[in-house]
Amino acid sequence: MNNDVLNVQSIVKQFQRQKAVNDLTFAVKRGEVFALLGPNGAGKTTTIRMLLGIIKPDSGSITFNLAHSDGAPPPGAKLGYLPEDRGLYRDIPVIKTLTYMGVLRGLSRKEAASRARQWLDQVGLSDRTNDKLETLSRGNQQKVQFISAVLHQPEFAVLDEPFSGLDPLNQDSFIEIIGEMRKQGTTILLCAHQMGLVERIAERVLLMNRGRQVLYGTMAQIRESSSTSNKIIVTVARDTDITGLRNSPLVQQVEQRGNGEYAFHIKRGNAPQKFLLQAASTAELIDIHIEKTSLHDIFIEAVRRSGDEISGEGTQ
Amino acid sequence: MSYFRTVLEISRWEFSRWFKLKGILITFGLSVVLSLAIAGGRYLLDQNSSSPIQIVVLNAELLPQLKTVGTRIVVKTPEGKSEAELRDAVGRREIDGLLILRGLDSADLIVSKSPLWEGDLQQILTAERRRLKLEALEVTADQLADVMAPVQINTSYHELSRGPSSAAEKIAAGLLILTMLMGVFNSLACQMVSITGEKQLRVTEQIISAVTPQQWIDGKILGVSAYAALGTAVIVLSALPFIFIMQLTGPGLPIPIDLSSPLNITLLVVVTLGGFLFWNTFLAAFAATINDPNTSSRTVVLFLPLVPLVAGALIALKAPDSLLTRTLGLLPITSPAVVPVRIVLTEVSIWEIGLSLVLLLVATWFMRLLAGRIFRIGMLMYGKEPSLKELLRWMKEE
Repeated sequence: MNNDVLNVQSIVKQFQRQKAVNDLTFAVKRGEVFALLGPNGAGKTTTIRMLLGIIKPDSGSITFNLAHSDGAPPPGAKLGYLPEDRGLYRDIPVIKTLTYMGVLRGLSRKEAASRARQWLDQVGLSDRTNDKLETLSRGNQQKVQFISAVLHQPEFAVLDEPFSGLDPLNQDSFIEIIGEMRKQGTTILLCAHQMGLVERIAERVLLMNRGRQVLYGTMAQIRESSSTSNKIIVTVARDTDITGLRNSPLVQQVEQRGNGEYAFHIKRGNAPQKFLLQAASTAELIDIHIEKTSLHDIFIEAVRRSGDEISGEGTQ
Repeated sequence: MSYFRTVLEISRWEFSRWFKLKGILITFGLSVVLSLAIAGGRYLLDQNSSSPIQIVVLNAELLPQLKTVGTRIVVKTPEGKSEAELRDAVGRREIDGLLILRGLDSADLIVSKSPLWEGDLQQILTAERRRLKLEALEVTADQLADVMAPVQINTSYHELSRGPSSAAEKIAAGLLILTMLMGVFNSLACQMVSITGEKQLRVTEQIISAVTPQQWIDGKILGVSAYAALGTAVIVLSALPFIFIMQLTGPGLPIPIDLSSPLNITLLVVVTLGGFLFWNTFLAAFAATINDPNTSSRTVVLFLPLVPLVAGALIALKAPDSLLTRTLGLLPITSPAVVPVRIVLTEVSIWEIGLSLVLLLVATWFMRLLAGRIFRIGMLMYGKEPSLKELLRWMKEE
């Protein structure tokens, strides 16, 4: 069996004069958490809507490889979808809405109600089963919304901003839940702006900007291909002169973070060890460590770079 | 899950969103209470109006044979009391009136409050005066009856075997149209809240990844139509306690014979249900193009297509057998109102009803497909409402 659950080839979607998605190609592997990232207006929502068959691409192909599927967008029963722009019936009891959503996804009414109760119990809302959604806090409403998308244990789930509105504790618990879903065989396509969380959970990433692919691959591949430099964080005693380090040919840029802490961006192609030795010999160090390049930094750098490239293309 | 099971689940959801058992029970309760109140009021009025009106007549020899049969007036003699004493008795309301005859042509009436029975009294006096005058002219009662006899007109109807519409039939037809319109307006409110509400709550996108737009709109059309039908049935049924109590406590209400025919009732129900389905397909498609009914200028336009429905009903009420009415009875946009009126007011051939129903169902089917196409794109348009040009383009899209 092909290991790709989803294969997207050169899809294009144009609205009036603007190409929302421009020649996008990627694949999602079975059982992985795949992150689709990009700034606002990058074309993520349009891409997701095309994947789900809500709108059709102008050209290109989208092929699903789910159990008993013919390649077409999967039926509701195999699919879970948590849209970014979301809401549920506010004046209806939570259990009733969840049961309805489960039934629309192919469960029997009894099964849907039973699973809804289990999920509510799992997220700590078992005492709010018969409450109307509008009486719940925003965070709890988010939990109910999440349950409505995955209640039927889909083979493929698209979770668009699943962490928005959640406090750090609940974000952690949702990461656990997503991990559990993955273990149970659900392939997850995730969109989120919380890069730290994406980094913890996603195995592969596609970064889009202005409808195009900017970065694509595993987290390691992304880091490797990124032009973002390594950072060495140095803490020195107050009034220590760091001019020597600042002027080192290995250093691209220096950030002063306060309390004697400096972040030295090492030029690409230079091993950090060289700078470590130099630092140890020229200043009185309190602390020194290498800061791994964060997805956040890679994201910002890549989006800026791709924006410049696209603008450059436009002016040529 | 099969297409139809999904549609039924959605329609069940839509129906249960609006269905409120408490509301139905309150409607029936109010009907019973109102009926009992009306019956009680009528009973009290009857009680009050059955007490006799006591009038003392002075100079009664001027009109000696006052006939009060059929009225509440009782004529009494003064029993030796003077006019002043009798006036005081009126003031104390011991008697209802003092009548002082001044001759054959005039009389004075002394009362303590405005007499509702004055008309009866005048008829009694006039009758006796007329008798005395005729007696003086030596005209017998038979001769008088012969002179006063009216010309008799025998009316017969050539065009149809059925008689003309009675007032009861016209009232019944009018009430049918009223309930039909109430059902349509009820549907309008439900579809608006249901579809635009879901757009505003952002429920749409999640559901549309589970079901097709056509399934969704079909479910909404069926669910809201069923609710509108139930609402209409509740209105009709809540009239039954009223009719029953009126029959028990008084002369009752005239019910047109045609409304007691099972065939006619079945036809009325089928046509009404067809009408609800047709109008709900239209309303659902329209609602999908509206972003926010509170701010949209388009909601005013929504009422325009309902104008032919009302106009058709009025034309049918006035001339149920005219060529225009018969034509309107075949057009889906007017037939749901025209056909029920014709069924109540006149003889409608079964082929006319059948053809009307077939055309209505065909139009509903095509309208449903168009509604699905509009809904598919319109439901994901937030903020901007589509132009007429865009709508026409969507309707053509596969």
